[in-house]
Amino acid sequence: MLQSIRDRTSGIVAGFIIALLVVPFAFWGIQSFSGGGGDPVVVKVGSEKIKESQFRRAYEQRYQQYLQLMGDNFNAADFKQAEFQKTVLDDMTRESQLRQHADKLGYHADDASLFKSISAIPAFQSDGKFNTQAYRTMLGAQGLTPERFEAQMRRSLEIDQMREAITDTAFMVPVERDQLMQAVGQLRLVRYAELNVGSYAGKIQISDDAAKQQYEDSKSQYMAPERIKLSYVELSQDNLPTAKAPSDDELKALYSAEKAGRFTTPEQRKVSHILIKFGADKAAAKKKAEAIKAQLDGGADFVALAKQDSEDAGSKAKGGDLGWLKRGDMPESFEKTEWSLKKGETSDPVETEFGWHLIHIDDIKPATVKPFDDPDVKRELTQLYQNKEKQQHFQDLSDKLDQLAFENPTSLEPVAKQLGLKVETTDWFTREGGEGIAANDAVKQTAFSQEVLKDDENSKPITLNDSTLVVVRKNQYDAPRQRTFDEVKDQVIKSMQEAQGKTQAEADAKAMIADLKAGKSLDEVAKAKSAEVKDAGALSSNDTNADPALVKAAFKIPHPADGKDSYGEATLKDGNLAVMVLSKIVPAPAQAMPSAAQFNQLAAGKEYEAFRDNLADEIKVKIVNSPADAIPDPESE
Amino acid sequence: MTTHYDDEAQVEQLRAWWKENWLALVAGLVIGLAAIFGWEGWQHHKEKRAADASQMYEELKDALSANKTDVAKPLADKLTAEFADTPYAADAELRVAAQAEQAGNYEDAAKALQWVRDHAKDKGLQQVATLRSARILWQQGKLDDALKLAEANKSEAFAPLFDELTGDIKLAKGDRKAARSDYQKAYDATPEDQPSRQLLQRKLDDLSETEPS
Repeated sequence: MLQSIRDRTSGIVAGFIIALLVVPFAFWGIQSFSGGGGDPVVVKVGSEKIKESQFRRAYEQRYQQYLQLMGDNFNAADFKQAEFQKTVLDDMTRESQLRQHADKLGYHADDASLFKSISAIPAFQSDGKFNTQAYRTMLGAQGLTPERFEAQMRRSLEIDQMREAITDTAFMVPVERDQLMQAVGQLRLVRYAELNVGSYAGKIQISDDAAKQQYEDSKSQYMAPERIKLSYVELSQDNLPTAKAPSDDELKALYSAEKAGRFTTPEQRKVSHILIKFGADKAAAKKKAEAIKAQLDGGADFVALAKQDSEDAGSKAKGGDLGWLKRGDMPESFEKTEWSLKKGETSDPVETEFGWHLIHIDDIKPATVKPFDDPDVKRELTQLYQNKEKQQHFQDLSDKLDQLAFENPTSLEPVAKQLGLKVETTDWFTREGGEGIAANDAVKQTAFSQEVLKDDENSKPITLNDSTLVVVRKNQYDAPRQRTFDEVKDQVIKSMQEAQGKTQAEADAKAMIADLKAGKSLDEVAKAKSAEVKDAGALSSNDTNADPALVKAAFKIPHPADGKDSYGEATLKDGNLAVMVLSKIVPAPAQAMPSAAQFNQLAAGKEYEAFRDNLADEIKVKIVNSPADAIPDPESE
Repeated sequence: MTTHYDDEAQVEQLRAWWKENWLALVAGLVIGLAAIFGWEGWQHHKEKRAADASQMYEELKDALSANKTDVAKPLADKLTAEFADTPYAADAELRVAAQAEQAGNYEDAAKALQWVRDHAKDKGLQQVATLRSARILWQQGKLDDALKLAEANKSEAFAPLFDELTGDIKLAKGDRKAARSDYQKAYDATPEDQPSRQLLQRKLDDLSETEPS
């Protein structure tokens, strides 16, 4: 076996192959070959691959930024994950295209520029100047080597160079700026007559026959939705009878179970202390505390010494008094000593994070237990007992309700009878819900479920709240149906009036414009149709005070010929019609003219956008795995 | 299973093989290594040139923003003369052109832009320069030349920009109908979410009397 391996590996061809394999590893190491594996490619951009891990990282980063930006306004329900993913991926794709393009064109930022941009980053500065130490420390904290960071910076600098070569140098020539301003900044002097569509509608007479005809023609608009009425039984804990009063034995058992938690007031200790802070020398502080303790042992007054020597600002003036303390109020080491002392005793120095304490017990309130015979205790116990009984009772009945409703699926009567409940009925309600229990979402859903609606069975118990259950079944059901003419007559007439009123108003508007064109004045034609004449003044195309529909229409009116008016129509926000007269177009006022730089920026934005689109045509993008698969749904996590 | 004899024979074989082939093997290695180091060296050389160009370009940028034309001019000349193979030459000319346009020096602007159109390796940049050249021609009153240039060669991505410009120039010539048709083309090719679309809409609205009704 070994011989045969040897035979084969000693051939010239085998030797050559091994040599071939050795060379690349010698130059590029193994990691160049081990990539890929469990990291699928999301998208291929030209010669570059965007891997899933890269995409996830970028997505996560952008998502966090987005969360921060939105703060409390973030609403998970409105968040469009798929769209957001697409934006992130598009940006990554674009950046990759730009980077590849910059490489292809041969951009290579020089070291001086690189240093200039790195030293301008505030994080790398101390006292406003670049600091090598700070630079290395900051990078180290990010897990980056200077070489790697500098390579990244150089690349982004190169993309900046490429972009700014376009955006910094874009311009609009003066004639172009003037002409654009003429179109965008002009003001239009507009007066208009407003036709009130509502009053047109009000005057329209609709005969019953016409309404009937309209109803027949558009019957499908007048459907009533399906509706249902439910029978139900309601089991409520509140409605259960109070359990009978417990016997003394039962109460005693309960008392012993509840004594410690409910009827015992724990021991309290009135404590004073003298605090000596550690200061610079912990041992010296302890000596000082010990000296005070010696004075106390020699008969000195605790309160006086506390006032004099304690370094606890809170209690010093009160002679060290900390008031009545329970277990758990103080740090552990303090407490251990505190609860081992007898009344009137003072401890040796005790160490806590605050310093050295001398603890003195002023008084002790022993734990008290309210006796069983106390009438308050008895009342509380009885109540407790009865509540528990009631809860238990409710639980039992709930189980029974479940069982009975299931065993007698075709009727609620047996359930009601055995549980002593009443079968009640709801009003009609639609899928939108209704009054009483029909307002409850679970009830609404159950009412139109297969089980209740189609199979005509009892529902399972539905929980309305902690102490109320209902079981429902269908009482009556109306399928969606055609509403009769009589039901909807008023509605039909109203909508006909509105439609016809609008048509009349529109016809009037047309006639008015014809009259205007024939040479009549706006006031004249408005009066004839009892329309109100209004002056919109000098409108600008981005006017925010006037009705937006009016502004939009006003700027679509053809230019008035010399000395003549020009006309247009608009449907206003409230539905009324406006017949407009454009008398004059005023050029943009000189002070409204933006600076050349602003025009240049406008050109820059468009040119760079086109430049990038051009790249998109040149450097092909191929989606390999849709990003939707790469990012897990946040709700499934 | 290996025997001493086998090993002896193999060593002998290997020696013979080596004697016959060492020259070819060593030559192959040398050629391979030379190719690797040569490629690296060439890359390094190219990067070095680009970095030199980048440094000059940055100096030119600073000079222009400080209005020091006397410093900027020789830098731009050197970049175009000796570093035309780097992208920095074309970028420098774009900056020179912008500076000239701002100063009202349209001849110089046109010249710089012409250089970019002739020499830039980047097609997108050529388009940018052509568009700007047409603007300069318009400003110089050469409306027909501007139209000819703008209509001649436009890539898909730049088409809406060229169409809008030709629309503008036709409007300036008084041909409102033709202007409208160009604006409409530009408008249709501009994505809805772009602010420039609104401006196009305004321009269209202002020509409403030419609307086919």
